[in-house]
Amino acid sequence: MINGTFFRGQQVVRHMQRQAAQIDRAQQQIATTKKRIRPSDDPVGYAQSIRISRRESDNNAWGANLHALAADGAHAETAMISISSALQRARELIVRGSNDTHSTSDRAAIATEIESLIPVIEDARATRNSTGDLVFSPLPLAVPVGNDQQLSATMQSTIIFDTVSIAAGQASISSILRDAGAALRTADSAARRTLLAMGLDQVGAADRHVVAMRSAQGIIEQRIDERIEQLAASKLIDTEEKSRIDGADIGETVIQQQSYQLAQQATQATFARSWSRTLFDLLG
Amino acid sequence: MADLLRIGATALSTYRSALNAVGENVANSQTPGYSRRIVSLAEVGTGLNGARSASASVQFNGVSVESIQRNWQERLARTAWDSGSRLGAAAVKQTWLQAIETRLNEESAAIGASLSAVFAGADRLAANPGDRTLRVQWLGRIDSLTASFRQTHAGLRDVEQGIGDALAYSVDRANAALVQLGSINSALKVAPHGSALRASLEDARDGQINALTEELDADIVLGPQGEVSARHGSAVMIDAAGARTLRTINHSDGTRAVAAINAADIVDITPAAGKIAGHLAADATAKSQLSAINNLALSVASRFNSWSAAGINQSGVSGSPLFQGADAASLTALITNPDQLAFARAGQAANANLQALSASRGSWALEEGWTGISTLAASQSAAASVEHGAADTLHQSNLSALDSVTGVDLDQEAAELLRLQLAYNAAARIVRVAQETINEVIQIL
Repeated sequence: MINGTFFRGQQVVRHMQRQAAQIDRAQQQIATTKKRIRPSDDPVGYAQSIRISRRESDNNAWGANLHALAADGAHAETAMISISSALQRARELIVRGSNDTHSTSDRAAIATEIESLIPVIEDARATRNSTGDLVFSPLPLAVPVGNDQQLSATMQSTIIFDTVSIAAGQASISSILRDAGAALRTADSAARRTLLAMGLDQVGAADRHVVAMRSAQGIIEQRIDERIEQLAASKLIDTEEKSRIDGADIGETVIQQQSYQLAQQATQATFARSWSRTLFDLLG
Repeated sequence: MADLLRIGATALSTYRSALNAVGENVANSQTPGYSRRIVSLAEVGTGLNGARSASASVQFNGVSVESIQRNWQERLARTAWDSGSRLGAAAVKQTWLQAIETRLNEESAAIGASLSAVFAGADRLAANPGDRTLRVQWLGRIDSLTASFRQTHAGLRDVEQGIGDALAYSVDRANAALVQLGSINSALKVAPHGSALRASLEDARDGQINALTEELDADIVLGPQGEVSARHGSAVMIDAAGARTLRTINHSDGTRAVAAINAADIVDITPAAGKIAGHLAADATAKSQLSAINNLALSVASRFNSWSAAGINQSGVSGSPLFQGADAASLTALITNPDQLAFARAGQAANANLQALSASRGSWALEEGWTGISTLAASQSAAASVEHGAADTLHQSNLSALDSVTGVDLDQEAAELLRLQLAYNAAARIVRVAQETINEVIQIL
C-alpha cells in the first residue's frame, strides 16, 4: 500500500462515486435518448430547443389552418363548377329560346328553366363548410399560416357573384339570369331578339368572369398547397435540428458507458487489492 | 548497576510512550481531522527536561520523552481552510442554482409551452373564430398558462424558503463552532506545551476552525498559546473576550444578511466565501428570478387584457379582461364563458382581433422573455457547476498537501511499531541484565 492515509482512501471512494455518476448519466442518456439531462448541460442548446418547440407548436396550428383553408378551397371550387355548369346551361337555353319558331308557352318554359338556375347560383353563394361557416363571405377571414403570413380560402363573395362586367357596368350573376328569363318572356319579337342577344352576351360575360374566378381560386389553392409543403419541409428541418441539439448518439454513449464501467471496475479492483493488506498483516 | 537499571527503566518508559503514540495514530487513522503524533525523544540531562545532570564523566542518565507534537503545518492548514471556504460557497451555490434551474426548466415549468399554446391556439381560432370547441380549448390554454405561472412561483418560493432554512442552519453551525473555539481557547491557555492533551486540543481547534471557515471566510489568527481569534472585516467573531454570536437579519425588502452581535453592537458581515456566502448569493438569485417571473406574469396580464379590450365579443360588446392578479402567484383567468372572448373588431372581419394578437406576438416578446429567464437559470447553474468543480479540485489539492503531512499511513506506523518494539525489547533486556548482574553480586556477597 502506498501512502494509504484516510484522506487517500476518501479520494479513491470519491473517484468511484464520480465514475458511478458518469455511468448513471450515460444510462439516463441512453434511456431518454437525450444527451442533455439538465438545461445547464447546454444552455445555448436548451434555448434553441425551446424556440424549436415553439415553432413546432406554431407549425401545428398553421398546418391545421392550411388544411381548413384547403377544405374551404375545395368547397369553393365545387361551387364554382356548379355555377359554370349553370351558366353553360343558361347559354344553351338562351340560344334555344332565340329561335322564333318557339311558341310563347315554349319560351315561357325555357324562361322558367333559366330562372330555376338562379337558386343554383344562390346555393353556391351560400355554401357552408364542415363547421357551418360560409365559404364565400363578403369579408373572408385572413387566416394566419406563418409568421406575418395570412391567407384566405376564397375571394370576397361580392367579387365572385356581383361584379360581372357588362356593357352597362357591373351586374350580379343572378340578375343576369333573371334578365335573360325576362327577355324570353318579352312578347315583341324584335325587342326580344335584341334583349336575348344582350342576355347571351351577359351570360357569356358571366361565364368568362366565373372562369377567371376559378382561375384565381386555383392560384389561392396553389398558394395553400405550397405553404403546406413549406410547413412540412420546415417540420422536417426542425425535427432534424432538435435531434441534433437534444438527441444522444446512442452508439457513442454506449461505448462511453462501457469505458466508464471498465474504469470503475479497474479502480475497484486496484483499490481492493492495494487496501486489503498493510504491513500489519505481515507482523503476524 | 543501579544506573543501568535506571537507564533501562527510562528507556522502557519512553518507548512505551512512543509505542502508545503509534497506537494512538493507528487508532485514529480513520478519524477525520486527526494529525499524526510524533514523539520527540531526548537524552536525559541534555534536553529541556534536564532534571538530572551528569555528575561524573562515567555517569549516564537514559532517555525521556521530550514532547508529543502533531505533524502539522499552519501554512498548509490555512490554505485548506481558505479553499474549504470557497468550496463551501461554490457547493451550496451549485445546489441552490440547480434547484432554481429545475423550477425554471421548461419541461417542468411549461410557461413557454403554455404561452406558445395560447398564441398558436389564437392562430388556429383565426381560421374559425366562431368554433365553440376551439374557444373552450383556448380558455383551457389560458387557464393552463396561469397554472404554470402559479406552479413556477410556488416552486421558486420553496427554493427561497429552503435557502432561508439552510442559511439559519449555517449560522447555527458557525455559532456552535465559535462557542467550541471559546472553550478550546480557555483549555489551550493551561495545556502544557508538548503534551498529548495540547495536541488533542489543537486537533479539536483545527476541526472547529474548519467548521467555521466552511460556513464563513473568517480571518483566523493563532495566538502564542495556539488560541484562536477570528474576525470578518470589522466584525469580531471571537477574541480573548470570548465568542460573539452571528445572527441572520431579514430586511424589510425581503433580502437577508448576516451580522455579528456583541451586546448592543451589531456589525453586518458580507462574506465572500463559505456556505453563508453561497446561501446569500443563491438567495439573491432566487429573488431576482421570482421578480422576473412576477414581471412576466404582470406583462402577460396587461398585454392580453389590453388586447381583449380592443376587441368585441360575439354580442358586440367590448372584451373584458382575461387575467387578474398582482403577481405570478395570484394570476388567474377571469373569463370562463367562451362567448365573451373578444376575437372580432367593430366593422372588421370576425377574426380581426385575433389577427391583431398574432401581429403583436413578436413585439410583446413574452415567449422570448420566458426563454431568457429559463436560459439564464440554466447558464447560472452551469457556471456554478464549473465554479464548484474548480473549487473542489483546488480544495482536494490543498487537502492532499495537508494530508501528506498530517495523514496516518498504516504502513509507516507498522514500521514505526517494529522499530520501537525492538528498542523496547532491548531496553527490557538491559533491565534484565542489570537485574541479573545485581543478583550475581548479591550472591557473591
